[in-house]
Amino acid sequence: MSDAPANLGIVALPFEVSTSFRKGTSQGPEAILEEFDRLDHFDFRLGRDPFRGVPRTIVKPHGPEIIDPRIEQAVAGRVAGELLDNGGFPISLGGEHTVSLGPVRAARTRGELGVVQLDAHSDLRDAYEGNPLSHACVMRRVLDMDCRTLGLGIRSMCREEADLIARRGLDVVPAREITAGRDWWRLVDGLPERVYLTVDLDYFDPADVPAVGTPEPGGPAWDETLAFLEHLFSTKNVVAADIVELMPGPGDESSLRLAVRLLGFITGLRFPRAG
Amino acid sequence: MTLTIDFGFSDSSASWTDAYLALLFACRAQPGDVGRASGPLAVADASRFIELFEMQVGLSPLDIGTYAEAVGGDDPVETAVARATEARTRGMFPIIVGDDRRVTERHSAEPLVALWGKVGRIEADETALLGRHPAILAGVRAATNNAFQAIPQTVTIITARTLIEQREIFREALSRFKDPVHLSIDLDVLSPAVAQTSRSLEPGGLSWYGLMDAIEMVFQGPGVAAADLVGTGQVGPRTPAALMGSQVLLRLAGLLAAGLGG
Repeated sequence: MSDAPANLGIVALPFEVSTSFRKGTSQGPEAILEEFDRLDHFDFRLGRDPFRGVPRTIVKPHGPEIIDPRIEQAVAGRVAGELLDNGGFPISLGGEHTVSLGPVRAARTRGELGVVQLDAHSDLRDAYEGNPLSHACVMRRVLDMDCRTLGLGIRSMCREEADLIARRGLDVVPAREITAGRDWWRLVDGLPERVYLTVDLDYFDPADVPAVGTPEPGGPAWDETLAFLEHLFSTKNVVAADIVELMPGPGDESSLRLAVRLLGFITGLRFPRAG
Repeated sequence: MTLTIDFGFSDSSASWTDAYLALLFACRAQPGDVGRASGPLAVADASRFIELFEMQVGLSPLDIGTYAEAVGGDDPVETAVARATEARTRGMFPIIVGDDRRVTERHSAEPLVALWGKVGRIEADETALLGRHPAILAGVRAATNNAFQAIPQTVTIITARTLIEQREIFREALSRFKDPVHLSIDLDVLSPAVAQTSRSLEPGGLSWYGLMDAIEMVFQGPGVAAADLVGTGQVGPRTPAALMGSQVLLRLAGLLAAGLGG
């Protein structure tokens, strides 16, 4: 594990164009930041407040009015790149999953990169409804950047994606295997030293996180996920992260709370000596 | 009234003449209600938003030919059952998706495996239905007093807790059936944490994988001749429960595609 970054950059990316079943992810970043302000952040697993003593900036490089994903990625990528160049740790808040692409590209242009994807869907379509920049294609575009990937919690894909996984030997751990044991943790060893972590909140079981656009039954649980994240951050240099696809709404406060707690836990792992 | 449904994400359905799986949605709604209507049509609509690939078997329901149709009219259940009967004579495997257990009451023609969370006399004469053929009632955790006492002694009752903790009892009960059964799945068999499918929620139901395993045990045991998915009457459009209903259908189709059906 590398030294702690100089500062934390929380980047709000309320971009939403291609979500399909239900919409509302553009409201995710603002909801998370409002909840962030309301909460106490002491984390019992970490044994401290993960934000205490950590210099942080909150960046809002664009609003929900942007509808061109190429522009969004350029803007988000520039912000993430500046944070990285200044020794910072960017955590982006979506928005739909395509908001990962700008920050991932920024991290990739600065060195070899592995991408750990927590997600219910493999997101490996080459195009969805003719759109290669759909949220259903985000990991395919990550592969185009020549990143090694590790997909965790996957439980939905189409045949094209299954064929791609088999053909290219991609590492994908289905949701049920996440819960069954920890043998799959060794797959982290095959990743480059520098890692980007992307968390699509539909990775979690809908019982814990119902407020997502396309919930899929049978997702992993909170504690087993935190245990894996501890392993990941202790063995790799996680240079940036994102939390995407929250679709906040009345009656779904548990999803919002989980997103904020996840933000805190990731921060705590990345800044282990703060507080 | 019938309405051919674009069943699934970006894939197209097979025709009535070359499909193996017939999905029949017994709907009170009209064709223009797709995307807005509750109940079976909400489940059908949600299927456009799931990936039609069954990861566990590595196959798609389209591999066996899936035909989907919304069946309406004055008595959509009766029409759907007639259509299912026709499907069976053509060698197809019918699954009816309905609001409630009136579908099972009129559709089942074999020994019954009912994965139901509750038993009552509200929608259908369920105790009479359970007594019509040898039956297993599994996953149950609530019943009206009268309904429970009226369940024939020939019915094997396996509570939700037993199904969760001692699934070999379910396997043993299934082993007594020598021929393929009628499988009825009510969404209320699931824990409300998995899917809130009605206004009368009972705690302690099956997890998602618990239901998937139970279904697989039926296919691997006696096999399945026909099936229905009920308890969708209060499932709203574009809701997680609608997606769960579609996912159950996908799993059934996957097991058929894997050749485990009766």
